[in-house]
Amino acid sequence: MKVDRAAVKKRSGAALIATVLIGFIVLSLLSATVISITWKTLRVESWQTEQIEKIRLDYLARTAAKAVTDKLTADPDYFGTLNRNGFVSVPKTITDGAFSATLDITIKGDDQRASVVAKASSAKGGSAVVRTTIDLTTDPKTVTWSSGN
Amino acid sequence: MRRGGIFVEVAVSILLFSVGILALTGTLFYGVKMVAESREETVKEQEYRNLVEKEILSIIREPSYDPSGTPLPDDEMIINTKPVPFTLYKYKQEDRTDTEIYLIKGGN
Repeated sequence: MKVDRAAVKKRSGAALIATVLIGFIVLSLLSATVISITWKTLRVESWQTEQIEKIRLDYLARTAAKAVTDKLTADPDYFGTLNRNGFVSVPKTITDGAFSATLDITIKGDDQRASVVAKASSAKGGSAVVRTTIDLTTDPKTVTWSSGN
Repeated sequence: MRRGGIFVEVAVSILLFSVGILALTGTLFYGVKMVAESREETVKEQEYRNLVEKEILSIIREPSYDPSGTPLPDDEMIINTKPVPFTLYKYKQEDRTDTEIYLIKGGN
């Protein structure tokens, strides 16, 4: 290829500018890729933290519902005569290290069936609800589990 | 004329290119290592989850079951002035932070 040396001489530094520009574009693309990967990694970490919090509250609500259901199954009148207005527990705060959650239990029912609703909520705003329905007319008493509001 | 100038230029280019290739290879190995570690982490996490799920099932199905978690001091919930005593059991995945899970086992 024939190079027009006269033309290049007229615009000294033109090649350098092109090199710098291409370098700048390549570096920009690399930086954008790195920022994108970092952002996605942070989002996944935040999602994982949310998931473990959800599981933690769900398991706490499930086992709390089980403890109260056992009391009711053993003696349906343990908390008093069951009614449709229900009994609401004194909120129980469970704290261990950085973890803190509040348990609220509601018991409703009549002489045929009773329902226990256990709600575990954390200071971060998450919550889990587990419900058990106890058929008091059968022997042994049958318990149906459900979750969600 | 400076003889050997081109040789020096080529040598410097090869050096820079080698540094770049080495950096890329390092990144590649690091990526492969991360994927392998991630696989192990996922398996460990799943095993931990299974263990806690089994514990919940045992607590629900067997009233006399003694949970394997670390027991915290006994406590109680109050419903309509009546106490529901319980023990809180703590579970934690080894070598990982923020993986604590708590289960309640009703007392007498």
